Amino acid sequence: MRIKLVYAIFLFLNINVVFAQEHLTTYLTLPQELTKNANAVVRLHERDIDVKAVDDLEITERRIVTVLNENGLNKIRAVIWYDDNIKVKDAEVKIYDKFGKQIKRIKEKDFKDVSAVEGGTLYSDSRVKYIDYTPVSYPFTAVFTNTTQTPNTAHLPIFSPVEYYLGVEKYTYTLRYPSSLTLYKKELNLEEFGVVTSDAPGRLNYTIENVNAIKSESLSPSEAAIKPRAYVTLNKFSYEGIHAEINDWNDFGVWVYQNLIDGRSKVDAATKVKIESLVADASSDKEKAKLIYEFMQNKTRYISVQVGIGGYQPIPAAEVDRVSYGDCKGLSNYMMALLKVAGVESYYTVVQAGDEIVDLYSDFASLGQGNHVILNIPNGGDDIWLECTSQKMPFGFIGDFTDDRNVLVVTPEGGKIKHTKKYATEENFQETTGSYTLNNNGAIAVDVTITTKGIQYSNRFYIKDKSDTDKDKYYKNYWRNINNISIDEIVHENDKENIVFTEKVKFKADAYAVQTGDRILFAPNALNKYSSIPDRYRKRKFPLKISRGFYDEDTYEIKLPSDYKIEAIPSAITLEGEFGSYAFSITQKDDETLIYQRSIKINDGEYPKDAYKNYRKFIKKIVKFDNAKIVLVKK
Amino acid sequence: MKSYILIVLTLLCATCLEAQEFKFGKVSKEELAEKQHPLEADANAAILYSSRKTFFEFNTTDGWNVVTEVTRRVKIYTKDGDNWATHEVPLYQGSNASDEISGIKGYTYNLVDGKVEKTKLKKDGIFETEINKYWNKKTMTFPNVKDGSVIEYKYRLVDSGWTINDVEIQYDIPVNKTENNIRIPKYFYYKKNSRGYFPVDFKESKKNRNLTIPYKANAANVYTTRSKTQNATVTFYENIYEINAENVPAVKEEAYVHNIKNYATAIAFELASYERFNGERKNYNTSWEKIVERIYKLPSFGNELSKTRYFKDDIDGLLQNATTDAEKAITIFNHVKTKVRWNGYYGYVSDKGVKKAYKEGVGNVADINLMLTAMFRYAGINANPVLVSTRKNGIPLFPTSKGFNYVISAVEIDNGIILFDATEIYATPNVLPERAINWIGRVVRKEGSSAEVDLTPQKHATKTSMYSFKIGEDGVVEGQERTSFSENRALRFRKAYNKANKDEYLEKLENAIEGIEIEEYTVKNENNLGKPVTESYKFTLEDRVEIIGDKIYFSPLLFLATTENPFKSEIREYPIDYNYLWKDTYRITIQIPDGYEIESIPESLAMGMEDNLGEFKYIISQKGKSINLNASVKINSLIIPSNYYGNLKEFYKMLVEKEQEKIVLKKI
Repeated sequence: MRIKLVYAIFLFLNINVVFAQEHLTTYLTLPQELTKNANAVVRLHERDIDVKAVDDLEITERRIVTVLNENGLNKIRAVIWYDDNIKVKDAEVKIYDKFGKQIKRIKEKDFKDVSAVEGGTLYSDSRVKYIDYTPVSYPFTAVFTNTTQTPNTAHLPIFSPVEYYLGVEKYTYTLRYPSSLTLYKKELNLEEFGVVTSDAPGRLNYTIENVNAIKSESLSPSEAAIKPRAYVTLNKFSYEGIHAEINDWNDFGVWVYQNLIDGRSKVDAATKVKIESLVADASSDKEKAKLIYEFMQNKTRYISVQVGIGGYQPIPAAEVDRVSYGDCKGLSNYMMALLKVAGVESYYTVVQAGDEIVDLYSDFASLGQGNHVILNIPNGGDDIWLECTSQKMPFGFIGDFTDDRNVLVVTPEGGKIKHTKKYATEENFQETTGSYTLNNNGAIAVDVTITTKGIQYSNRFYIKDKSDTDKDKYYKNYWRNINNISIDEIVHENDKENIVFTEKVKFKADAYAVQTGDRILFAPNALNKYSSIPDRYRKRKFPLKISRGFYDEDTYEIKLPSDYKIEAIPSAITLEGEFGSYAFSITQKDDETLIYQRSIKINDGEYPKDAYKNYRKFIKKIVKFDNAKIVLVKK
Repeated sequence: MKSYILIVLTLLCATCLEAQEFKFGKVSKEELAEKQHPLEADANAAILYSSRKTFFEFNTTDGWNVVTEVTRRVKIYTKDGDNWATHEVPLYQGSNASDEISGIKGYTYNLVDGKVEKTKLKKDGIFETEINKYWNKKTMTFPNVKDGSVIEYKYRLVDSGWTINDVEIQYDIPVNKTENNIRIPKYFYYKKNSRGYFPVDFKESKKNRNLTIPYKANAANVYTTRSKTQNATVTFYENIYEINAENVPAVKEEAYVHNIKNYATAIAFELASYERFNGERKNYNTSWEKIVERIYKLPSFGNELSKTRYFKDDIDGLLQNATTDAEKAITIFNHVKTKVRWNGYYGYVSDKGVKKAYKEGVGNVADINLMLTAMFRYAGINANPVLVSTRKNGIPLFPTSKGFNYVISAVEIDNGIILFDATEIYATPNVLPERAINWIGRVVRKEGSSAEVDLTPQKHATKTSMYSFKIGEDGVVEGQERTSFSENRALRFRKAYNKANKDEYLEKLENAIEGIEIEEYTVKNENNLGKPVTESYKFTLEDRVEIIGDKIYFSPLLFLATTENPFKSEIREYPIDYNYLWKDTYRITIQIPDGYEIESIPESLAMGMEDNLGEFKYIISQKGKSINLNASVKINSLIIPSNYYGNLKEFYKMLVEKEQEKIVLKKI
């Protein structure tokens, strides 16, 4: 009797499974709500991660996606990255038409299989398998199944079910692991998206259901800050044959130091002598570091080389010394080795680099965080950060690539989370000064000087090295509010000591002012017009985030044609608000000379989503005032 | 028996002479000390010297191989020139032919304390990676490269497929001196075609060469009765091509250029015929006719055209009610477009075969358009395939089979020809996707004969907009618009609109026009290709009208005015390449607010470019409280040669100025 019952249940379950699969491969059963704003809908994604032992990991994926249009094609995600250590088993994609009829089967051998070398990378043993499928019609459904096996357990796949323009019907994530190990996890925005969590020893599960597609919005926080995500790691793992026990960033730092860095910082005697004589007259550690940094910048170049313990180990310093190139790890480690020769203490630092500010989680240590390496000089508490892959950055300047974020500083004693330099609003300064003469035919002749600091410096200093044609192009585009520019002179000065970039430009332009009968109309703000109004969203979903503030001050002297007089002139304006401030004024110096003064300051900060509308209004006003015209009439 | 190779070099002396000037390994202090390029001060790097020798080697197992020896010296001036310190050589890895690279040698030279320091390129700086099934890549990364470094390398490349790579003369950095010596035995005949604008010194000569070939004499040979290995010496002449140039300027990217490589000077060699020692001759391509004939004879071209069984039933069914050829053609065209999708692959030969492509619903260009042609023919329509070179592939100026990479279908009627491309779902008869609109193609007729076909659309692609604006006293504009698109303008609109998420499309449109809010956005005929596609909406517009004192100023084109001249650079090296002939028209009616009168309106204007390349019309009139404007821009040539650049720039300057002019209203 009892056996029968079990059998019956089993049978029932089995039927259910078969039914479920059929039900998901047709478009007809797709809840219409999920298609709104979606290019594709995940009908079901089952991600099963099975850590069988510290050095045995099996990942099984089954992903059923209904693709609604061409833009949703990449959501099938039938892409498998692998290398010598990852075994791929049973990869397959089945394609079903709108009505759920199977129309194609792509077996593993029919996947494209190519080297995963990106442009700029010299060598890498990673490879990628993917499908090259041309849909016959939309919508269609793809079922991707795949199992991979690897002895590396350092990287466990993350739970990240929600993507832009993708609806999700159901997504389950299951992690099984030996209960003798300790699980660490970092969960983000799970509640907001209604994720159901079950966490028992040896088994973790997340399930999310019926999530409508979300649209990307400009000026929103980073994806990690707004989407549901979970990162997991175990206290013990194996990586390229190295076993590790890591409970926090301190342990992690020790592991990185001992396994990846230690013993790789030797340089030969000749280089030692060179460095010693280079810094012989330097009085402080900072001065020494600066000399060595400039030496390193002149000597080396950046080249991506993905070898050595899965791309995590730096090339030995002696090697970089010999060939004079390396990747971020190799160059940072080399710089560290040179500083050591001069007796300056510095540390290898792991960071998530990019224009978007992403922190390492201070309460969750894992190998998967961070994509770049820089160098930290503690400098007695006044940290100096060095970007070693750039041959042009001034000493101690990191720009918007690694600024203002939590990073891991690796010391022989262990890892420490530190925060990199934040460039505050007032530091990101631009000053535009100069004069222009307006002719009675509408032409202008301009003599202008622009100086930039902070993040604004990092957006500019590279212009100096552009070719003459590209410089010409750059300025014609920078002042695209002025037509018919012909440039007479460009002078650049890059003051790396004070980190100030100066641009002096002289140019002429026909028909800047519009002539209408006896009148001439022109916007006095010719040289620093704010023109980009943030996009309008009928319904904003995410908060407003301004990652970096800036501050501009402008003063121009405007010479008017002598045969015209002023008919109308915009009145001075001052705007103050939570997002910043704006002001301009025009004063008359004499009959033919006006002084135009303007300042704009936009603060960094995060604001609730409702603030976005007001921010947009604020910018719209600025754009309007920057466009205000003076009317001259013939005397 | 192990075979051996023996080459007699008769040109040794000539090569010795050249070598004296630029000897490998002898980099001078002057070269290292040079801070900037003497002719192009802003160059980040320069090729100081490049030498290439291409010749044929013979051995009894493989027969002939093409050997290319490259030696090159590159100067790095700045950090931005660093990418020239990494050199890549693509290597073909086919089943019949493959490339092999050997003898890689490289050095980096630096000037250190007034002395030349030499660093060797070691094994760890040389990598071979697989790009895909057919191509590998050898990468050499030079050590110890700084500002001012000179790098030098040489290697030897053996190609068993008899491909002679293009002799490239011009790059995106200046080249001081390039010497190329191509020696081709009389048994091979290669066609030579040059592209680009920079003149080269091209010398042709002949010289004898002796080749000793071991052979096994057999019984059939009249001179011997025993089978025994003997040596025979063959004497034949070689054609020697010396292609030299000095002070070659860098090619630079410009806007409105489809493929800058088309303009960089290079000489291409294409195999035309090969003769065995016994006189047996194999012809490849020598003329357009020959090339077309060869392509026509390819099973994956000609045979695919003659198959009909796989579509017979479907087409019979579809054509039941079609009476005219035009109806039949449209029905078939639509059938192929919806039934078979393009997989993104080019080519004039069928990839998997038309039958399979039809069944699977996916194919490459040839699968689709050969199938289309076959169906046309089946229905009794006089259709033929047309070979095309896409824009990326370049302009097919000379007869080479590489010249083509695409095929479309042409229906010949009494008074002309109609072109079809079923790879693009929104294409219509005589409206080809932009990739295929490139100069001339060649129609391949049934018997294998061919003729030129002009691919340039004869009709202008138009965008015609009607607007009515009502200006309020507060400066807010209310209005409505209706725009219709034709030809390639319609194709482009349908593609963009149908692909997009509709909400987002509207948002993007709104965000692109400062101050606008759009309502009642409607598109008609987006999928009905037989009718013109139109877009219409209502809108309100803020901040585009300036109220200063008691006057209102605005440009009658409001947000439609061209505010930026697209041509900004002072000079232009290359032709301006438009995608198709086009015409944009705006018909605008403006109602002025109550309490205001018109003080002034701009003057009407009509102007044309030299040789009727373009025209601009701006016809404005007023009647009571309303103003009418009819403005249009028309471009009449697909390609505008660079000597017209000044004229084109001036044309746009005047256009921008005119469109910026204001109407002035005055309070009554």
